[in-house]
Amino acid sequence: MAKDTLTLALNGEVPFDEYSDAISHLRALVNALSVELGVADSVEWFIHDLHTGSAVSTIRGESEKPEATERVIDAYTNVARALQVGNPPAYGVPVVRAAIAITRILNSRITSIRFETADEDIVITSTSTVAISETVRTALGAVEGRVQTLTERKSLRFILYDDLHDRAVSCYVREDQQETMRDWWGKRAIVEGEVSREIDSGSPIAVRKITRVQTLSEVERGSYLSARAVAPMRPGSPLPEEVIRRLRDA
Amino acid sequence: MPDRIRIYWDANVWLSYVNGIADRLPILDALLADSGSPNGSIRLFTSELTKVEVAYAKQEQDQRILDPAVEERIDKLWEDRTAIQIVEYFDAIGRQARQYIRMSITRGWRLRSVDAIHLATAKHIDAAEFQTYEERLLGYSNDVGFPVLRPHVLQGRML
Repeated sequence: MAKDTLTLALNGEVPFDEYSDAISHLRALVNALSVELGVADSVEWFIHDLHTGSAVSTIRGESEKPEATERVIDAYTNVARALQVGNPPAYGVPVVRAAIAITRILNSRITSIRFETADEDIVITSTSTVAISETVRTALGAVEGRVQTLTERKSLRFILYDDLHDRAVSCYVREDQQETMRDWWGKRAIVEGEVSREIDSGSPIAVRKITRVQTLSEVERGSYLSARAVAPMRPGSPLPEEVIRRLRDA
Repeated sequence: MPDRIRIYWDANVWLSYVNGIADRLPILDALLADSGSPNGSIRLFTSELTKVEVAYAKQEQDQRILDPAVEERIDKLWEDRTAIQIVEYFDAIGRQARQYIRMSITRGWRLRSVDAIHLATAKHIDAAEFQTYEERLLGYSNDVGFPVLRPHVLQGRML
């Protein structure tokens, strides 16, 4: 799958100053990686989307050579993996300096930083040099929400807003699903695929390897009234709590 | 706008609504209307598991296959997500459910895995109350981290 976006998310209560610093360090990191990989002149980076809730910032690389963008994105993942286990990234000083500056944003209010690409989510919760345990778990599943962001430009990513956890969830589609994406905009949908969730909160972060997107029809308020007393108890039948208990104890 | 109070309904509460049990309906109607109102003060939640339990329990109640037309109307119950939030099962809920089961063994409760999943789902969504008609679960109030009560309209919030 072609990759053209990378995301930095700050979790917690994010003051504007720290957000601004993080974006500045992200810019320094992407620039330093582009220079080190020799692609600085061939990739231009644009803001792809910004979401509050967990201060999610996504940038998109555009280039005549898509592989140049992908190399920067792969390197971004490598940097994050190194930081997660407390190692310095295996790149030059400007990259290491910018990467470490991002992790220094962590404090009592910004509790974790997530580096996200189309392939992976890497969460850093501490600047400790001790390897940290797994913080994201992936399983087949589904997330329901409203499709919020589909850019005009060709992209392989959209945002599904999950009301339950009040979070923007990144959804990465395959190239053959790209055309269908237009039909999803603004609709409530259930997106099925490989769902990454934060282990502690269970909040979904991203859906990859999407197998199905089911758009939901807009439901009239109060549709639940159709079910009111629709199936009365027959004489002698057990009460709801008795029959449910019987099933649970079976 | 202040956050709404999150109330979790056990499957037997939903089945009471579908059954139309006369002495329960006024409270259930009031809570559903509050949850579905744009200016409401509560939001009702339940597990994805409830959908299966309600349909299956109705069949058990009647000792016959559910009429498809009735089943379709029961399905409508879950569609208005402004009034009812459905929470799917996932790993974090499973781990919490396991903790409840462990706790139940040490305390001599008879907590079944489905009970534990409902309670864990309520815990996950940070429910202010777990509402049920099941006497056995009422006894677990506060031990699970929130009150377990029979459905009631929250004080001062009667419509």
